[in-house]
Order: sequence, then C-alpha cells, then structure tokens
Amino acid sequence: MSTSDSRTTTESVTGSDTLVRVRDLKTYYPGGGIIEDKPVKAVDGVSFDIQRGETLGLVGESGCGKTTLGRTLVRLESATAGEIKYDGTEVTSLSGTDLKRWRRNVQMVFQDPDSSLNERMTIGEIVQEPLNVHDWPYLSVAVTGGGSDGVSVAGSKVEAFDRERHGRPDITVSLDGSTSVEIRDAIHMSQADVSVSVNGDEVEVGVKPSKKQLRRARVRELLDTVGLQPEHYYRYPHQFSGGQKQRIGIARALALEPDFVILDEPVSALDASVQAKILNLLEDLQDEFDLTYLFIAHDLAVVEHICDRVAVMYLGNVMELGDAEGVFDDTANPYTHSLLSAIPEPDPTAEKQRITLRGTPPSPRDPPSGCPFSTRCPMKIRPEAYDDLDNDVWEAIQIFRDVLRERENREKSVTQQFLEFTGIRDPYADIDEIVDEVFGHLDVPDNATRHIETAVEMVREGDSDEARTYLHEEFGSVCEQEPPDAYEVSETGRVSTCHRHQAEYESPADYLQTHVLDD
Amino acid sequence: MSTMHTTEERAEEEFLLSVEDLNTSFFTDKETIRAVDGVSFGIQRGETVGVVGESGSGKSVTARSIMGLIESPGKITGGHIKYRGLDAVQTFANRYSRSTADLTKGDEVGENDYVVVEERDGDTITEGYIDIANAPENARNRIRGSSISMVFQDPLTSLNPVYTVGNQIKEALRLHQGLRGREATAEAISLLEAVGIPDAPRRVKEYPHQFSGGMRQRAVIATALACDPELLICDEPTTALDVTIQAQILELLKELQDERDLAIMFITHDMGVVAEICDRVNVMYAGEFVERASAKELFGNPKHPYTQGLLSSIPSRNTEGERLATIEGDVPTPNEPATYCRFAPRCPKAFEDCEHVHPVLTDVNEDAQDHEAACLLYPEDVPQTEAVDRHETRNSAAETEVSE
Repeated sequence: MSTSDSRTTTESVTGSDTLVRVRDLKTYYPGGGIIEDKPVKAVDGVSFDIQRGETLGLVGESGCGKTTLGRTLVRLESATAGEIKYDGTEVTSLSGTDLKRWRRNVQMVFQDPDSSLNERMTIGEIVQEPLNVHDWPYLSVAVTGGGSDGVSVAGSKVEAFDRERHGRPDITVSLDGSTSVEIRDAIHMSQADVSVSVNGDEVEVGVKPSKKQLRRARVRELLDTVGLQPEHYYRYPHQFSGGQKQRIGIARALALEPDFVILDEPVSALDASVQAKILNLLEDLQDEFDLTYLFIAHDLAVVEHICDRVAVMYLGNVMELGDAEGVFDDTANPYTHSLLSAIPEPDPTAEKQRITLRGTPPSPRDPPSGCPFSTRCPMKIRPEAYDDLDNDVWEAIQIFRDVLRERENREKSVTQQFLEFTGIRDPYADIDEIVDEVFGHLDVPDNATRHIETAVEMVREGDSDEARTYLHEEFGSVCEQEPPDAYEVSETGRVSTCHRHQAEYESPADYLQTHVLDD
Repeated sequence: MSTMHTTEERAEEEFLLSVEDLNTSFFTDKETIRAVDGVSFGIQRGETVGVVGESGSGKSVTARSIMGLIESPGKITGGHIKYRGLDAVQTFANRYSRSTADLTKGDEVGENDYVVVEERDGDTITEGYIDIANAPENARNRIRGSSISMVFQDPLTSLNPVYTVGNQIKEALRLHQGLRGREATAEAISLLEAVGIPDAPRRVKEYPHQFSGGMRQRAVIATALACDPELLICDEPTTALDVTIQAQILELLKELQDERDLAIMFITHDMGVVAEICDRVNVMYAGEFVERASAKELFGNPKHPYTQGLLSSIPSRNTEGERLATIEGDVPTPNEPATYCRFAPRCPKAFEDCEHVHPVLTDVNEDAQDHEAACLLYPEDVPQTEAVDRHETRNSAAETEVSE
C-alpha cells in the first residue's frame, strides 16, 4: 500500500487537474449461497486517477471486472468499499437530488446499440429523454453588471442562476449601460426570443419558445453533431445500421452536456470501417466539448489508438497502469505481455512468439491468495535452486501442483482436475500415470525429481495434504503468498503490479527473453 | 472463354469443394436481395480458405448456401456447389441412382441430376461430385453434418441449453453414424478430449451453462467433428471470445486440420484472425468477391480499393495518434443485377466507366499468380481502356452463356 500512496503524491503533482480519483475501490456481488456466502469480487481494490480532458483505457478479458468498474463509477452499481471522488465530490455517498444532479455530468455509452435503444421510441424521443428527465433546460438567468447585487429574477419559465444547482447560467443579462442578453450555445434561441424588462430590483425575463421547442432544437443539433440526418428524427431504431445506432447512443449521452463519458465497448459490435468512423467521431467530440473519457474495451489495438493512458485489468485488479505508449511498447507486467502476444496481427508474415496461457482465469468468487495472475503466470518467480530449471520442467511442476491443489477441493476428481491443466486424455490415470504424463517426456534434473518423488510417495500413502505443503515449501514462491504491490516502472509514472519489479528478481521483460520465449 | 474454362476445370479437380457462380437471393415484398451474386471459389483438402467482409456482405449466406441452410424467403437461384468427397459420392451414387449421371456410361447431366460420376475404376468411383446447390432437401441433410460441418459464432446459441453437451454430440452421432448407447457416449467423450476439454467423462454429462465461453466453443467444434467431416465451415468462430481464448481456439483448429486433413472455410471480419489462420483469402463486398489472393499477398500487396480501405481502417501499431482512414458511405444492399461496380460510390479511385461496366475478377497483372481483383483498374499493366474492355467482354460472354 505504501508504494501506491507514494504514486498518488507524484501523480497529484504532475496531474494538475484530476477529474476522477478512485482509491481502493471494491465492488462485490453477494454470493447467493445459504451456508457459504462467498461474494464475487468483481472489482477488488482498484486505484487510479483520470485527468480532465484525457482518455483512460480500461482493458482486460471478459469477466475481469472492467464493465463493473465503469458501472460503479456512474453509480449503476454501488461500491462495496473505497472512494470515488469526482471533481472533489465523494460520489459513493451521493443520494437523492444530489445524485441526480451529478449524473448530468457523467454519462455512459453502452456496448450493444441494439439493446440500449428502446425499439418503440423514435430517435428524437430517445435522444430527448434525458432532457425530459432532467427538465432541461433550466433557463437559469444570471444578472451581471452594475447594481446587479440584490436583483431578483422573475418570469414564468426562467429561474435565478444558482451555481450549485445549475453549474453555468443559460441566460446572462448584463445591466451595464443598455441591457444586453447572452444565451448559451446549447440553447437554441436568438436574442429576439428573450425579452428583458427591469423594474427596480426585479428583472423580468420572458422567453418565447417553450421548453419542448428548445429540447427539440437541441436534439436536432445533437443528431447533426454525431453525423446523422435531420430526417432521422422520426425514425425508429430498427431502421438504422449498427454504426448509426451507436451514433444515436452517443447523441443521447451528450444531450445533457456531460464532462465525463464512460464508453463501454462502444465499437466492439461494429465492422472495421464503421468502427474507424465512430472512433474518429469520438475523438472529434472530445476536442469539441472538452470531454473526459473512460474507454472500456477488450480490443487492444483500438485502445492503443484512442487512449492517452491505459489500465490493464485482471480478475478485479489493475495489473498495469500508465501512458499508452509505455504499456504497449515497453510492457512491464507479465499479464500485459501475455495479452499483447495473443492478439492476431493483420500481417501473415509477422513472426511473433506467442505466450500461450494455460486454462482460463480463476473464479472471482475464489481468487488466488497471492498475485491474482499467479495461477496462469508464465513468469512466476522460482525459488533460487530452480532458477536454471528448464521452462517445460518448471511448467510441469506447476501443473502437478495444480492437480494436487484441486484434489484437495474435490477429492474424487484428481485426474479430472489434472486434465484441466493439460488436456491429456485418460481420465482414469492414477498418480503414477499422472506423474508419467506430466514429467515422462521431460528430462527432470535430480534435485527436482527427488522432491517430486517424495511428494508422490505421500500421495500414494493417502496424504495429499502433506504432499501439497511439501511441494509448496519446495517450489512455492512469493507470488502465491503475498499480493504484489504496484511498482513504478517508468519515468512517466507507469506502475505495474508484480513481484518481479523488486530489485532482487529478474524483471518480467528480461525474464520473458531469457526463460519464456527462447524455447 | 472456352479455353479458359478448361484450364479452370482442371484446377478445380483438386478441390474438395468448388463453388461456381453461386447465386443466392432473398425475395421480399419490397425487393429481391442478391445476397450472394455470382461467387466462385474452391477449397482443397488441408487448407484454410478465408472469406472476409463487413456485416451484410454475404459471407454467412455463402456458408449457409453450402450447408443447405437457406430458408424461405431465400433461395439458391443459380450456380453449382460441387462437393467431391469420394465416399459421399459413392454412397450417393448408390442411393440416388435415379439422380446420378454417370459420364463414364455416356450419361448427360440432366436437369434433376445432382450426383455426377466422372471416372470410375470398375465399381469404385474415382472422380465425381455431388452438386449441393441442386440437391433436394433429404439429400442435403445427408451431407450436412456428415461430410460438411459448421461452427457458428455464438457457442451459447448453437448449443441447446436443456440438453447436456454429451446428449447433443450423441444426437449427431446417432443421426449420421447410427451409434447409440454406451458406444455413442464413449465416442462423445473421445471427441471432447480431441478438442482439449479436460475431464471429458464428467463434462459429457454437464449442461452448456456449466462450460466457460471457450469451452463451449470447443464443445461446438466437437459436435461439428462428430461425423468426421472433410470440410469444416467456421462462421466467425472466435468473434465472441477473448483474445487469449481466441488464440487457444485458433491453435486447436490448426491442430485438428493437421490431424484430420480438414478443409476449412473460415468466415470472419477480423483481419488479424484471417492473417493468422488462412492460406488463401477472398474479400467479399455486397454479394461479390472483389479480391482473392494468398494471405501473404493480400496483406502485403492489397489491390482492390475496398481491400486497401478496409486494411487501413484497422487501428494498428502505425496509426497511433493519427486519424483512422475510413471508407465513405455504407455497404449497399445488392438488390439489382450488377451492371456497374458496387463499390464505385464509395471508391476513392472511381472513374466514369465504373458506373456502367461491371468488373469481374481478373489477374491483377501479367505475372500475378493467384491474385485477382474485380476492379476496372486491373490488370494494371495494360492501358486503362483495354482493361475496361476486357472486363466488358467477359461480362457479355458470361451473359450469352447464361442466355444459352
């Protein structure tokens, strides 16, 4: 924890303008069991900052908690623990009107444009809905200029400006010299639509168009902003292509002029050429409206393209966090290495050595005790005696230990569990056959063989528990015992959560070259 | 034209499956959608042929046509799908002798014939094909699942949630191989093991929801392999999966291909996956193939403006920070016969002729080996007007052939 604290300070020095600050955030879903009630730890202690105007990418495999994290940030899920500060306001405890007001600033674009648009509403209605819900526009009037103090605002549609409530004034009346009126761009009125009369201490403001008319004008403008045609206003979602539907979703998210938009896999369902158009649109909108994005995606190429900084998630934890260039070109964390190497390159001549991970991520209901990635990590730290052990042999020992560990959980299915890690056929093999399958084709050095044999002997005698402890003492390492801290790995403040960043171990990148790739 | 045909035919003989001028249309009240509009290609044993394109380009309809899965209002309106698996041809020739044309006995291929025997050695057929496009439903049912299998995109919807995985594999075994009971269970277990599913004997009794996404797709592949097919059609098999799992599935497909000498038709929109797994690639646009080449050639040297646009719109290592190239407009619906280039309205290189000459697949240049593009710019080593003329002549030749 101490390291992540020091990171906070460095970041708050460099990052001048933090919009979102997340510290040790946890979102657990309660387990439904009657006797055993283990929660699903979807997000398990995540900390990061998002600077105003930047795009933070959140990548990871499905089930790693990236969507839950996004939903927690907009309070669609409630956090179990930790803090979320938005522009200095603690979000996790907001409620009632405060929550509703805050939500205007934070919007979300969903992955599936089909299921996030109501089939029975026209596009106009869909985009207008948030405006209706939040009673947009307030038509708040601010009075400036000489003698504006103590002046009250009157008028049937308008209300006096209140910074807490409105953020910014919609209409600004200046009393300097002749009375002049300014109207915010988002509200489609000309000055002729606003009449102002000053009666002593009271400024009476009359607005000609109705709120409905203003909303409709706003919707038309939004459709234009996202590249849709005016005639689309009266159409229904089924009349649109996937890309157009996503544009509608974006228009709806922008309706209330938010500062922060969470994009949850906004282009995953789209074709490559359409995807490119939406990505360009998102970039344009960010420039135009000074938006801050949290971009959730599993496509690393897309993330690399659009994001300034990237957080890589695995099993509810952030494994690596930092500038996009560093994460992709100077990768630090073993999981990031594995993830990057799994992406197929659109170049058949590219010869890259792939790190194939065994198995699937463990259940977030029962995460590993040490590093979350320790069950699949190809770069797990070894005890000194086995530093030079052949990679295949080391991997085999890991598999063997996995098998025994599983036996503990499910006494009958030792072989079945073993197969989960190897894909070997005969499920009725006994312990000798397992040993043979795992180590048979390998040349295991004597020092390792001795310990394996001792363990096998223990299993044979029916004491698998003891065998596990024995193997753990002999082959176990810090990776399985303690959760790693976040270490700073570059001058830009990029951090990676891995024990290998400690000085006494070989760094993941070096280890990858020397131990994982060359054979 | 005639000389060309013979060379083409000779090459085809090596193909396990050859599709010739396939047309599949959907007839709606409003319009006729020519989802597959004159597509030809072949797949050899042991190779992977890719079909790439955006959604709505007709990739899946091509696959479903081959599988005989086109349902009303859709219909195969022309062309041939010749399947040359000899075991199947032998079985079919015996079973459907009335619909068999035996060229060795001087038969002519009649209108209703869909089994053609081209060469035989005594009773053994050594060359012949089944034309799936013309076969009736019951004959198609026989090929589907036994000689040709298909893996769909979403493993959860292609498995029935109320039956165990084992039951679903056993159903295929019962229908196509007549296996039942213990024998079928043993076979199902060994299939699950073949696709790398651990503890198969327990898994075989489990339901799809108990499997993880990657595991489900493995189970679907096991079902597809149940009847030892020679051709496997994969329709976006990894699109719903994570990259690390996708890598595992692609590896599995390669292994199975090596073990069983499978021919694989691989449909996807992911250029990275294509580059990884395909030997040859066809690029599909609005119902037509617009470019075909070996994977290496296609990615290294794309010729058709659509392929070029598609490749440059993928975010990759080189486009960091820059704007992504896009292709203007949307994929059109092919609802009328193509008398023009369907890509012309979006093409940055379009010129006048593009609007009234329909381009056909042509070698991209004199030395091109197995690299064709359907674009008036090619062959690139002849003057523009001559190139356009060639496309025009080949079009009219094709038309007269049809009218004959």
